[in-house]
Amino acid sequence: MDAFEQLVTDNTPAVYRLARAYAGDAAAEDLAQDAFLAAWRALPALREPDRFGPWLYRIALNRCRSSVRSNGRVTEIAMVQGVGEPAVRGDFRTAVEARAVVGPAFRCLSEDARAVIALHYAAGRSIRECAEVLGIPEGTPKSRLNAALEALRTEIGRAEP
Amino acid sequence: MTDRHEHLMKAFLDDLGSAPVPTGLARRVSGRIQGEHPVRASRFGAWFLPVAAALAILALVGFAVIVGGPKPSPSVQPVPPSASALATPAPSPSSTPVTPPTVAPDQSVVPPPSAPIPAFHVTLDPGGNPLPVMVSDASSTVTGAAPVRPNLSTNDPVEVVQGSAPNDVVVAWVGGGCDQLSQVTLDAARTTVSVSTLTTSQGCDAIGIERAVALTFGQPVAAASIRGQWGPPLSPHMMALDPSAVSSTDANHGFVAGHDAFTGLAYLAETNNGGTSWNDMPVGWGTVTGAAVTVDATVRAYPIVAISCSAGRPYARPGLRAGHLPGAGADLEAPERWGTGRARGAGQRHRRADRRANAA
Repeated sequence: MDAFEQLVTDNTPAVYRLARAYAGDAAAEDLAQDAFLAAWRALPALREPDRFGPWLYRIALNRCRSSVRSNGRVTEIAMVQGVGEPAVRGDFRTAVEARAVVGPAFRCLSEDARAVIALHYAAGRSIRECAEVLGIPEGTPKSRLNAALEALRTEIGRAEP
Repeated sequence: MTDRHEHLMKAFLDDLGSAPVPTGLARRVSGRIQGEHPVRASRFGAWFLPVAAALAILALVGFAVIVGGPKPSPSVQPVPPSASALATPAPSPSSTPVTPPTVAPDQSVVPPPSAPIPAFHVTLDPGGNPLPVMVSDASSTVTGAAPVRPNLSTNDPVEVVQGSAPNDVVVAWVGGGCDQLSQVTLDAARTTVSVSTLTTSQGCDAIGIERAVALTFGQPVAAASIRGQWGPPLSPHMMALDPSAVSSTDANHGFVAGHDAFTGLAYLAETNNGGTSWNDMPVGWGTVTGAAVTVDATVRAYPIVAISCSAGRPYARPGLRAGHLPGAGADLEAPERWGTGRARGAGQRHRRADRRANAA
């Protein structure tokens, strides 16, 4: 239990941010908790303990996908995180604009595109780790990430010509 | 795709990876897992012992190579953190009796709402240096607060002296021209009064300014029974609504929640024009501990807004799922009203009203 707690502590920020990016703020905490709980229950199925990380993020990603599919395309945005933890640092207008303009465009992307962006940018996984989580060849996430960013640019341009 | 779009995209991607994690989330996860312990332990033990034993042997061999050899072998690699972490947990149920499940307290549930702490607000204005002061009375024995002429007579940082009436106690301290807000807090035992201040360091001289506020009690109180002290500095979040925490739902609409220390109220503000102006409404007493907005992207509406406060009842629009916000979902209350103002100006408006009241 102590060891698993340590893994929870180490991976909580990345799992939470992954869920937040993919499914929205309001659902992120529930999804992160569910992912860890599912991992805990399914721990006997993990045959290679040193692959715990990719395995955990795959569980989290699957939870997020299920949640978004079952809830339709509902986005949830949290605001105040607590004293001393500003949700967005830097210029207020930029933050508001970024969420306003890029957020809807991001949610228009395909599941695969959102997944690779969320894994790489929100959860901070490397390209190689993204490949492990997504179960695809190592060279594929890089091209998929580039395609996802290009699709994001296209969506932004479509929303705001 | 313009430069602006590229800039916004970069800001968005940066935000994805730097979002603050809710405080205590890992602890809550651990709490939920503890509740699952018996189920998990019985399944975990089937494979865990062999794996743990193999890893332990590997670790021992590695240790022997490092300690026993003349030089550490460069081929000896540390055990991967995840593997070593998995190798150390508690023994399986086959070796120790299963303890009864102990469900950890659910940290995500806020305590039952309590009655608001009485608060009074006054504006001190010695020498043209107005300072809003919020008086919080945890003892619930103060019946009023008023500005008085300061007359410090000791070197105590916060002086507590008898007022002009037996029921009055004067709290005085030396502040500065950069003070933006002070909070005078009387503890529940009515033995200590703390003064906290929110201070900026922008363009004001360092000359001390004496401040004093008279507290009126319901019965005679000996000032000597109350000790004065400095409290911790106030957080800037307490000054007014915090625009850096705005969540936007589209190009024009956004929400921000915050706590106005001057009024002691939690606020929710909404903009319909990209943040140019804000409508705000008080949603309860206390400090905002969380807020959430759920947007139905299909109809572009915002049916759910929730906010929880450290004191008072959480507020939510109908439709909120209980899991969205700790404590929300039970005992919801409607907003008192929608007002008009700017997010930053929420407190200022009330301060202006109070100055008018003081002048009268």
